[in-house]
Amino acid sequence: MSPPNTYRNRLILYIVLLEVFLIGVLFFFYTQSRDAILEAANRNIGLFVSQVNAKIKLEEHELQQSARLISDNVQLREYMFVVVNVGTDTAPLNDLFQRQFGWLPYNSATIISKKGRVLIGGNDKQFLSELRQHQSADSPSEQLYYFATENSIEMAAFVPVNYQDQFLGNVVLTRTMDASLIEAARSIGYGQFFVVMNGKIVRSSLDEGLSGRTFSSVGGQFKLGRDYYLVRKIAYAPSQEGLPEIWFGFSNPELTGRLEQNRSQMVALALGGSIAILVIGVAMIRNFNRPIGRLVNVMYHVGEGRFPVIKEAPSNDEIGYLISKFQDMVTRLKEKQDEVERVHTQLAEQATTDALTGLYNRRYLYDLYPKMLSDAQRQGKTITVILADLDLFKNINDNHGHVIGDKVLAHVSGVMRDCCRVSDFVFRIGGEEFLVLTTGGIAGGEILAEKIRSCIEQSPLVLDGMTLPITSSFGVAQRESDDGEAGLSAVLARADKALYAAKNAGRNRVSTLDVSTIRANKQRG
Amino acid sequence: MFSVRIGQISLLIFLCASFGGAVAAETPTRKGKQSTIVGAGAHFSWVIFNDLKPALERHSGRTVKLFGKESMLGMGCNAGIKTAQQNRPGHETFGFVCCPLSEREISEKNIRVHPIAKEPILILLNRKSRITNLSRQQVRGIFSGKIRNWREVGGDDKSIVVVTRLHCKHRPGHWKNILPDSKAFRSDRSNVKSAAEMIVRVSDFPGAIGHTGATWVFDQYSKVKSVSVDGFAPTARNLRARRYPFYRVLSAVTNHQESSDVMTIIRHVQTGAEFSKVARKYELVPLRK
Repeated sequence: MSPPNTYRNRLILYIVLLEVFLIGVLFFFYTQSRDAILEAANRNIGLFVSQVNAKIKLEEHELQQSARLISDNVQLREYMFVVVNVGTDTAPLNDLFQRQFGWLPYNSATIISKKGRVLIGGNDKQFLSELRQHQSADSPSEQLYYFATENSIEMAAFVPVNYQDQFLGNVVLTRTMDASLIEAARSIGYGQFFVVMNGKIVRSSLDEGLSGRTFSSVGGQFKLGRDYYLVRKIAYAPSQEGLPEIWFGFSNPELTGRLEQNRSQMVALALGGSIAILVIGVAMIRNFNRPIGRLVNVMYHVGEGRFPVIKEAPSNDEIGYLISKFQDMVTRLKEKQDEVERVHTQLAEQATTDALTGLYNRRYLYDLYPKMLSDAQRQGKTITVILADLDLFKNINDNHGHVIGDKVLAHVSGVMRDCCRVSDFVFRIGGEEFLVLTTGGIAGGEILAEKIRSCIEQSPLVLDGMTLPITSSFGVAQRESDDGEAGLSAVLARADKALYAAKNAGRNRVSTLDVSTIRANKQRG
Repeated sequence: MFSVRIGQISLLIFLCASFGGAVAAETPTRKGKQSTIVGAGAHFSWVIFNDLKPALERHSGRTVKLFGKESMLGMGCNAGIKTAQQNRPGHETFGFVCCPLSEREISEKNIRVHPIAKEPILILLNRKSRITNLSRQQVRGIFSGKIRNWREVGGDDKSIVVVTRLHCKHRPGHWKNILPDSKAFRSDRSNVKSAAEMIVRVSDFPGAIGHTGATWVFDQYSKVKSVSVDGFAPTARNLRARRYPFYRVLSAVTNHQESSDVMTIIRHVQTGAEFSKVARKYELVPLRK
């Protein structure tokens, strides 16, 4: 497991932070845009509704003006006078009306006499009933009121017609208010009108059949299915009761539809950005983290004393340059290390071996003996020392010189080494003195010594056609338990004593000093 | 309404022209006898003068300007009298009226009346009416309101709409041939201010009855017809024979300073050969031979 504060982990953290930042920025701007739209809509809907209210007032005024224009017309009043008083057919009045006022902006025109006779229009019985309720024969006055039919809310301008100080009847012009608003909303395609009666929608500018659905505005919002509408009430006929309410509203889809349409693009952008960041991140990890990780690994191995080889060819960039130089450094370091080891080995060899013969020297004997003793004791064995001394070597030196003498020493050393087992150690401990450490016990040591002696005797030095016979005497002794922890001096002393005995016995022989035998003899004696 | 506007425009033109004529007449030394003679007044007399205008200018050697086409109530005869009163040297004017003037009015206004012709007053019905003849009693009964349904005089079962133009109420004659006083007419009658409006009104109401002078020129939009009275059509011959009862007198008026050219014009209207043709055309009975 990599440590937490690695370059790789930081890269991953940065990528995650970038992803979070990107998504956060997009989400932030999305929510900000949405809030801004809704806030502006809240302001605008109020403005819009006030404009609708103003438009309704204007329409009321226009409708009243149109009705006054009709009622003020002398010819119409005269015709109406004739029709009302003479009781003639209303066709002339209708013809005159169509000729003179057919162009006026109204939905329906009705002229009704003071006695309730319909002179013009009046096809709708419900409307007529409303009109007769509002008509007062006694005190004719201008009125503007609203009334609801099954299909609409009608704005009605009521203007009396007088002729020669006689009240003849009323001109009533109507304009279907909600239908025009709904039609306007439909034609604009923006914003919806709801006509609500007793908390139920009776009509709307929406195409869906909403009639009968409950309408409830909570905090200026009306929930319709999954959509919310910001709604405001249209103020009309404030003094009249029992009329439907008209509400205008913008739905969330209308307000934020474009934003919602763009949301998928934003998601795609976020996804694309995330993928791009991931790709860049992976590329960064690949291009930076991997070579750096490899360098770290190599450094780790270098720290552990190993010198791995970076097999991959370095890339042609800063990291590649760094790896290349690092590889050179490691290579040079390894060369230096090898040289140090070689020198160290050489020095170690020089410290433990004899330069002339290549055999172990006396120093190494003292280093090796405790270890060898420990190993032998673990194996239940004992160490046997074979001490050898070349016979009459002084004569060789004297007769043939020291050079030959050295060659004799080297020759004998080789013979001894060849005669010994791998597990035996051969030392040159003095001028012509040699020592063999073996674990074969006193008997084994004696056999080995005899073997070496025989080998030396049978291996004279042949030099420049001259045969130089060589013999050696051997003293064999075994390490005893009472020799102490080290005990090398004691056993050497015994081996030397045995060697001395061999010399005295005529040289070229093996003499053994077996302490147990001596002790047994002493006990017998 | 349209006819009312036309009348107003005519009056405006007339007054402007009168003022222009006055300006022109005030500079006699410059224009002398070549200045324009202005005539103005009631529409029905205007028709006669207008038809004779080329002959009048030819005979008088003067340029004649005439105003009064489709004159409205209060603007016809009164304007004619006023125009006549404005006559003075260098500002030669005369008027024409469609009603006879009383001796008192003639005296008070210091004018002279030059009778031209009797004009039959047509009894107008909507063209849809089946009625073609009425007795004078029926006419009077209808206008007075005693008869209120055409069924009573042999027509359809339809209410009668009385349309009147009771102009020049203080003058004798004219519509007073039908009923002597405006109060004698139905109170729920429909009063119009011009002859044009009368035609429109009678055209609009199938049950309407109205009246107008014989010189009225009916256009293609008029849906009216005149009926005979006591079996006699409103012709010059029946009028002269006193068989047709309703008529009025068309006259020219001047003050007492009329110039010879003005008198030449009036005499030519009264007695000229061209006038005979016009009288035949409009069923007029000339009053001077």
